[in-house]
Amino acid sequence: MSLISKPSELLNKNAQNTVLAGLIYGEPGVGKTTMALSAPNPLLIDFDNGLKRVNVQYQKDSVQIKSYKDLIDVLQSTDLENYDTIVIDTLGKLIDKMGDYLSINNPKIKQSDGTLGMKGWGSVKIEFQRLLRSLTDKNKSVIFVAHAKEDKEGETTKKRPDVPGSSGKDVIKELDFMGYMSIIGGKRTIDLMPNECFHAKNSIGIDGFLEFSKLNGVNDFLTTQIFEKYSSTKAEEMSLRLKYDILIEIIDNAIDSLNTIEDVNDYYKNKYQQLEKVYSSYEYERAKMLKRTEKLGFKFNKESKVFE
Amino acid sequence: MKKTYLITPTLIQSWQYWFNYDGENEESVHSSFLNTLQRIKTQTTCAMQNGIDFEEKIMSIAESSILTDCEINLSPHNEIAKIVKGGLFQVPLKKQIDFDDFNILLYGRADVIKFDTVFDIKFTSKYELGKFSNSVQHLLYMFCADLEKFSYLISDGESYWKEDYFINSNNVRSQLISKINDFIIWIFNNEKYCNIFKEKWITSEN
Repeated sequence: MSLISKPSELLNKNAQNTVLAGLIYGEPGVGKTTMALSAPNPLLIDFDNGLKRVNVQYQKDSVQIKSYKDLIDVLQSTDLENYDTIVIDTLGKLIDKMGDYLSINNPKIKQSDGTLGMKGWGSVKIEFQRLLRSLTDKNKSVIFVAHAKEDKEGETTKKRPDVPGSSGKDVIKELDFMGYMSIIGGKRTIDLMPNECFHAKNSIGIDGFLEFSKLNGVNDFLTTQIFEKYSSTKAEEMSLRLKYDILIEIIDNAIDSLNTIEDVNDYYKNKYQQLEKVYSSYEYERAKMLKRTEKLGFKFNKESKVFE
Repeated sequence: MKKTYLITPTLIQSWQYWFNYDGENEESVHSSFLNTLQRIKTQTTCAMQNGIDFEEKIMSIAESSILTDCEINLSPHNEIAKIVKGGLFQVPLKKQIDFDDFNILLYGRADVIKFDTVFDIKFTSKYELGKFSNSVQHLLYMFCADLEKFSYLISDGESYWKEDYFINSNNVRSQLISKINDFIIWIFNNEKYCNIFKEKWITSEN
């Protein structure tokens, strides 16, 4: 095997090493499960019998799940090593099964009418966090699939993922992205930017609106449009972060060496905010300069624009 | 010489809230906007004080050296403090936009700036996902700081949530200018309010 990687191979490798937790939701029939299966090397945890609705050529390995205990068993098995992404279809069913499982061990979390009480939803929240942590610890990405639900907000309606009980916002808090999937002008779209019509989440800093045409035998949209893009954004960020750290060191050394009023005014006139701006390096320099001059007992005269 | 007027997120938001308000408390919402326009300091309400206390507690935890891993999961204060630790606190941000007849100096004070992100800490009694998506605050702060990431760190005292906004600089500029333009056009077409604005928001800073 060659030790040399082509850039695209490297990007694909990085994409497979990128661990993300995301959610795709939308109306029935928009192709949510197919879309979720376009994530890197997926295993479908099929609570909803969703695989049968996926075109045969895009179907992937799956596990039919009856109870939350089944999922725990799958997640503990060595079979999981063969997959990079776990697709959970649907999030609503997962939460329901999680609630049932937790109430078997602790019946007190259910109310007299059989539904979960506040304590029950608290337990679900903790279990959900535990599940996500156990997957990310194993270096697995997770894509949840959910149906859309409409919330009335005054005279308008807003779509959100159908997640039972009060667990919705606590579940979404744990995700890196959440996109509303729909069909606009014959094209399938995913929008990660929240607006007045639907809830969404974009904590990964990629373009919020994703559009794709017909699948032509290859189903890799999430891999190329989210995982690879995020991976390349991260690489760019790492290089900028390195540059930022070097700049901060230069600024620290320069400002810490200022001792006299002449030093300070010379620096302010000739060097202050003259370096390349990387991230918040100018704000850092300003704060550092303020702290140093305060320590030295110098004050800035706004009229004459010199320290005195 | 062209005059320069200050604009803050509070002014724009207070105007937007009143302008779009369609409820029964129109008078009180209008009066609140007028107070902001006249730069009248109102009494600190209980909700405002809760927010101030919350923010101060986070700052004190973030600035102390005792934040350890075992404390992190104990409270939203610790979780937020962990995120902002090592950042710059209370950073003034400003940037001027030139119009034909006057300049606008956009001004805000970021709770925290750390590396590539502006953070704003919010304390709220009720949080709904996407609560701040229409806010002008993240646009104005990202534009003034030349940063493309903004996070609201929100808590009700029991839990905490994070709302992230990533917008490239062109988008920030166009979205922000459109919101500022709406306000400018409206206020310069309403003499009564315009006179107050010109008197109270003129600035010699740049």
